[in-house]
Amino acid sequence: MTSVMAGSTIRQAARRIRPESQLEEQLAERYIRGDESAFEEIVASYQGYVAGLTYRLLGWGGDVEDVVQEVFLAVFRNLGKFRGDSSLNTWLTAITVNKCRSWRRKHLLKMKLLKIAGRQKQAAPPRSDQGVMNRETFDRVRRTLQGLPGHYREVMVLHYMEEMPITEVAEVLGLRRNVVDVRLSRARARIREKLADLIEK
Amino acid sequence: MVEDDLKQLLIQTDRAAGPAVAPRADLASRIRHLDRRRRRITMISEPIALAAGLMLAMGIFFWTGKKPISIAKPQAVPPELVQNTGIPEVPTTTPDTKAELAQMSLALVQLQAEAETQMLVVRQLRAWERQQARLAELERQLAAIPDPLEEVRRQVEQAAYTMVYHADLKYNKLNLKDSAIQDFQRVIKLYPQTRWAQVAQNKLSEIRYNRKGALL
Repeated sequence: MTSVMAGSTIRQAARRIRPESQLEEQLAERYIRGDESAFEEIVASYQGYVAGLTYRLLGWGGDVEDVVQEVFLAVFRNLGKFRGDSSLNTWLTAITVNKCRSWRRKHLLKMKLLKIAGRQKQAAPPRSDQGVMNRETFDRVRRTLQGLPGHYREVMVLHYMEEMPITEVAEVLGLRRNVVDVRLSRARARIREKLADLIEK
Repeated sequence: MVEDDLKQLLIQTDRAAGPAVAPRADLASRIRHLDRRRRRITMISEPIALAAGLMLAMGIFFWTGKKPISIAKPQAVPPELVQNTGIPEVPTTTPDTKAELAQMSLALVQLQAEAETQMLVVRQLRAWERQQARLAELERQLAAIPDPLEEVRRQVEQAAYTMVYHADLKYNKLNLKDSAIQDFQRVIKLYPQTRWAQVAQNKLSEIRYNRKGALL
């Protein structure tokens, strides 16, 4: 906790110096003062980031567009209440994580019913050039990540793919640093079980 | 090393997955439109839901309150009263009614089976949610256990501080100067990484300086 608080104090001090964070605060302030174009700017600046994060959190599948819409709808409705306790980026990340959780909960029931009815959807093939990775490896890694419990997948995506330090991951998820460490270590153990040969390669 | 390899594997997989979705230029206006639409739906749907609930309740009330239609077996007409009018006998149940009843029974059985399946899934989901909640609680409890390394560091600091405090007391109040100097030296030897080692060092330098001054 002390390290998270210390991290927050350092971030606040850094925010006074960093121009990007000042811009973020100004956007929120402008919106509160009634400047509607601030929301457009936020959407334009963060649309790519939110879409990418959603795609990863849903295990490179799922209804990314729907979730992105839900995220920005929540931002639109709650931007007036944003007080700058954390950065806009952290706030958006937290909203995205929550919306992905809601989507997973809603679709878990649907997926189970489809499975019972024997009408499970086939996984979509990778979209990019297959020279980066072959299809089988991609499918294995994706299935492994999708098979992780949601809260393990979140810490893996935020720490390894979004390259957030653990203190920031803890802040986004509203957890203590120890809990994030424990979840990361368990997620790594599970992935190593399934993909040991790929990791060694 | 394994962690770096895992990170590389995830990053490569992420690159192989390609971009999420193409960015939309009109997303902001879509969001505003969606917000207006949902607010309108919320305003309209509440009274509609209330009305539908009332109608359903009334429908159930009337359906269960209706008396069942009893198809009475017609009385046999005595032959002497039957005139030769050629009127055929009335059957007890018509083929259409039987078929309808059979269809309704089948539909009911199917509905029951579907409802049971869905209830099973709901029960499984709830059990899973309870399990997740329990796991989260256990993780919180685990996180509440203090870091042993941190605890050891704190105790080392505490021990060093106590030693420095007593050494200082010996030197200034109890006039046990030699013993105090030995204690300060022990702090530096035993707890070199703590800040109290620096304090002890400063105290020793002060003592040496005072002694030099006294000699001069």
